Amino acid sequence: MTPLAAASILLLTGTPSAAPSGASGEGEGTEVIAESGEGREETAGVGEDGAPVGPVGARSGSPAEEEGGEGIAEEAGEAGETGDVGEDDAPVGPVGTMPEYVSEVRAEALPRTASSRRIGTAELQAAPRRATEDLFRQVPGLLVVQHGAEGKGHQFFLRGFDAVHGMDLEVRVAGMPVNEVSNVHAHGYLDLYFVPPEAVETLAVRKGPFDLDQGNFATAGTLDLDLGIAPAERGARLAYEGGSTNRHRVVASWAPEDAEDFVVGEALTDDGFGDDRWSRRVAWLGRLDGAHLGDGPDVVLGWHVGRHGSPNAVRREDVESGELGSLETYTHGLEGRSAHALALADWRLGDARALRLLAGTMLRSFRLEANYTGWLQDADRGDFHRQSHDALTGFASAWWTPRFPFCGRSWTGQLGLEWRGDGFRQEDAPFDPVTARRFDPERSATGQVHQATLAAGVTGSAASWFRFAAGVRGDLFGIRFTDRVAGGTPSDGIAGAVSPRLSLQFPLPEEWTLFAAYGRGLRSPEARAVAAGGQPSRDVPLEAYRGGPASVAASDSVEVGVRGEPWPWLEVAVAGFATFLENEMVFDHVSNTNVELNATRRLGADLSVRVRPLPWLRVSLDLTGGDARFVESGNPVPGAPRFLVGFAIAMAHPIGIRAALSGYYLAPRPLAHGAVGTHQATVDLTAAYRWRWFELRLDVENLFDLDGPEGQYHFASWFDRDEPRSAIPVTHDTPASPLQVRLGMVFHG
Amino acid sequence: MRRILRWTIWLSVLPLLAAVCEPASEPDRVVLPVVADGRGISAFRNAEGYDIDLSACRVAIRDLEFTIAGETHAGLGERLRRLLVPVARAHPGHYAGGEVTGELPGRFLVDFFSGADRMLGDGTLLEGDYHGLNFSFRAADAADGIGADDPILGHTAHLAGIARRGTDTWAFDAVLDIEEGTKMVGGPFTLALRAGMSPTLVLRLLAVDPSTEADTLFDGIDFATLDADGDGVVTIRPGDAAHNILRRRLQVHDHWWLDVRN
Repeated sequence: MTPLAAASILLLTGTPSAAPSGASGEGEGTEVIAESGEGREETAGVGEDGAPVGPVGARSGSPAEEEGGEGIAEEAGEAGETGDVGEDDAPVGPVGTMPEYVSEVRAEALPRTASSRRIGTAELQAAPRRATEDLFRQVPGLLVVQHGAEGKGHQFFLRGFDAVHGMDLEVRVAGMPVNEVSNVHAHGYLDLYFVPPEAVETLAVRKGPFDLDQGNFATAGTLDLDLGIAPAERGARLAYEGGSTNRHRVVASWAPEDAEDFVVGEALTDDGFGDDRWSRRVAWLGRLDGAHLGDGPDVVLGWHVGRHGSPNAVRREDVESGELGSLETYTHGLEGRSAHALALADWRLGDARALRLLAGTMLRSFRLEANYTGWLQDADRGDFHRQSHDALTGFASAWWTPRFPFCGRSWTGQLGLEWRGDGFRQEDAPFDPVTARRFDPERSATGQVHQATLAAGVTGSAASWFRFAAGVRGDLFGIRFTDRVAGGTPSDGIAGAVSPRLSLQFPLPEEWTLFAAYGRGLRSPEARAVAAGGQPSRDVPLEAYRGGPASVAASDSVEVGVRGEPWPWLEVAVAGFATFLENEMVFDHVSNTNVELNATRRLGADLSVRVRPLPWLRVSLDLTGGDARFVESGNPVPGAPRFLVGFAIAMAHPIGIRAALSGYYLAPRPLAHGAVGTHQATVDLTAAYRWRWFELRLDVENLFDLDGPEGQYHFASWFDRDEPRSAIPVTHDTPASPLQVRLGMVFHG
Repeated sequence: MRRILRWTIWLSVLPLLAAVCEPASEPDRVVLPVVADGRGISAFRNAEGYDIDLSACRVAIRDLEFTIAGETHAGLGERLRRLLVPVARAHPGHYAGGEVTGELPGRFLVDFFSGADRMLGDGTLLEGDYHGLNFSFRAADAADGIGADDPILGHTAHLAGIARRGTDTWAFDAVLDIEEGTKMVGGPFTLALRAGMSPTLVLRLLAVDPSTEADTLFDGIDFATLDADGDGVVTIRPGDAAHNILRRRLQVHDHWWLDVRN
């Protein structure tokens, strides 16, 4: 039996209560692993014979998972014999004194690639986190950078892509894509502060664009957040966290133990670890189980408002000379604001729940004051800018994953229809931070972007020695953009892409599986790109300078890897990947033109090792190496990490102690203009002890107080006006968190 | 399979060690002399058929910037590269093409008829592949060392010369105003600069655009029409229609070249 084929995930819930409905077995002091059969029980709800199976655990899951969950048919059903466990089955519980173990079994889809993973509650809790995006730090090979204060979106680097704020990293929350199309600050902007981290039950990681449902912005990969309350945290829960930066955070949650409802609310105030790094926010998120409405939809509602400081990046030479501390900033008093309102309905229909309908909407408000360059561009007023972006997003999707027999084998079809519509109003204007006077905006616009998607594919096993998933999706973008600065005449554009996807899995001897995949990822053009060509100069024949009409950037990716468990206590996954972009159009905000970038190629490999020397101890090591370059010049892609190492040593002992030591190391990486960055590393500690209804939690960020940046950039600035102005770029840093301690108390009801 | 695993681990660790050993660094800076070509401007014929022979040409500029192209598509040609204005707000992580990686700050009154190269100063440039020159226009003032009766005082440019068509001849004198701080962006400048190189950069004003357009600085200027009194003298001053034509032509990057002299 190949454990990965059945890919069962065992969760020792640590609660003496009954397992949620559909849990398959329980025992006393033993791990009982039920037959997982075909399908992902908690989502597709399909057993081996196609009969519905009660829902268990996490709700969402990509259509790819839902239709691809049958594994290798000949080998299904052997999990119980081997006692093997899945990848995120760290013995997270029990916490507190636990006379009994309750086993909850989740049938996990056979992974499509060697690098794809589902990170469970155990791993997500094994590192300090301030907000949901910090959970992404658990994703192997993903570099997460906060170059502002908590409350601002992060910057992401994955597989040789500088995804900026989400341009090449698709994120879905409960199935709904949340990258912000044409956000004034950055295309694909991600702000997940409307999701308290306690409401994330699992995080599905798919690197590369190999699954049919991976859509806009998935050029480097997709992260799916499954909402829910971890079994050990169900019931009523009130938590307070105090930190060394005058941080105070209160979280209240409630989730019945026999249903999937939950509500989580949080309130935070934090002065931050440096100048202008303060943060305040209030958020709540809840889900109503559709079972309460007969066979109605699950309903997710959420709301969030927040404010935060807005620090500058600091010139490294100023820190090294002692002119400025690494946690200080040049300007003060700048801030940002963020707000969300979310409503989402999720239906699963049909006998085998083969039809999933999703409809959602999000109301969004974004404000950011920033000055990254001092007085370089405007020696009189300074380069202070205030950006605002208000948007309304609508989303609807229907994915049908019927099973059907053909040539004596069972196949799963996949047919998807999606629509997303975004309407926004945005502005970028210089302003005077002293008088708060706003000057004439450099950008002031409204826009609409509609995306329509049709996807079709099939998953099956044409022979006993391999399994495949193949399909193609077509995406069409209709864009209207009205530049109010340029006169208010709307510009329209249409762009589209056809994206084939293919993945193969070959079972090998000795518990290994060989994976191979090809996929084309896509990134929509910025809405503003359809208006490119606004006259930059009266003397310039404009057509000569256009990079062409707005178009979809398409990436072609391949991945080959193996994954297996050579010993019961060891899991290894190795994957080599390559991504090619021949035609990448970006909109240059300054020259108001579409610019076609030179072709790029990204090559690299992931190595992931997970060791479980004891049932309650897990050690993981993730190593990612890559080389991202422009094909013609051979120059490296600025910012793309060359080597990133992540590690974790986590324990969850039955006596109620939970602790983890985790961290990462980033080797020097290329920056713009030929500069090379410096080493980055940090080690974090988290520990918790639970006694019945009371739990203490300790989080220590940067345990050894290592100096070093989190973000490194190479650009020009002029902050010290006593010095001559210079437009030559130099390295700027944003600091990593220094040593910080947070102590939390949790009351479980 | 385990052998494969072992090799995989080794092959992963070795490049890691190599990457770890690379020190953080700034790109090398190269200091190069920048001069203005004072050997004059060759005679040329404008679109209206006048043969124009300049005898004076001075322009007040400041703050030269040297730009690399970034990684824009080669197929779009040099002109696209030149257009990319190097004033990206430099938000960390944002893409911006045509970035400034070299400069020669200062205020200059460039005389293209001084008779010889005139030193503007030492420019500082990072290593890189250069494709563009930018600078800002300004008004000349007493700090430029000019007399109170100098026609360029308080103005941006002064051009004078003779225009001929057939047997007719006109002497012209033009004083131009360009708004302070207006940028000329993307003057052609091609240099793959590496540490150890020491060329001289030569700023030139070309009356004829050497690209296929062959536009000239004086296209659109009809001297006969401007010489309303028929005395053979044409004076162009701010506010005149001809002034605006000349002013726009002078801002076009095709006429401003930075040559590399080894």
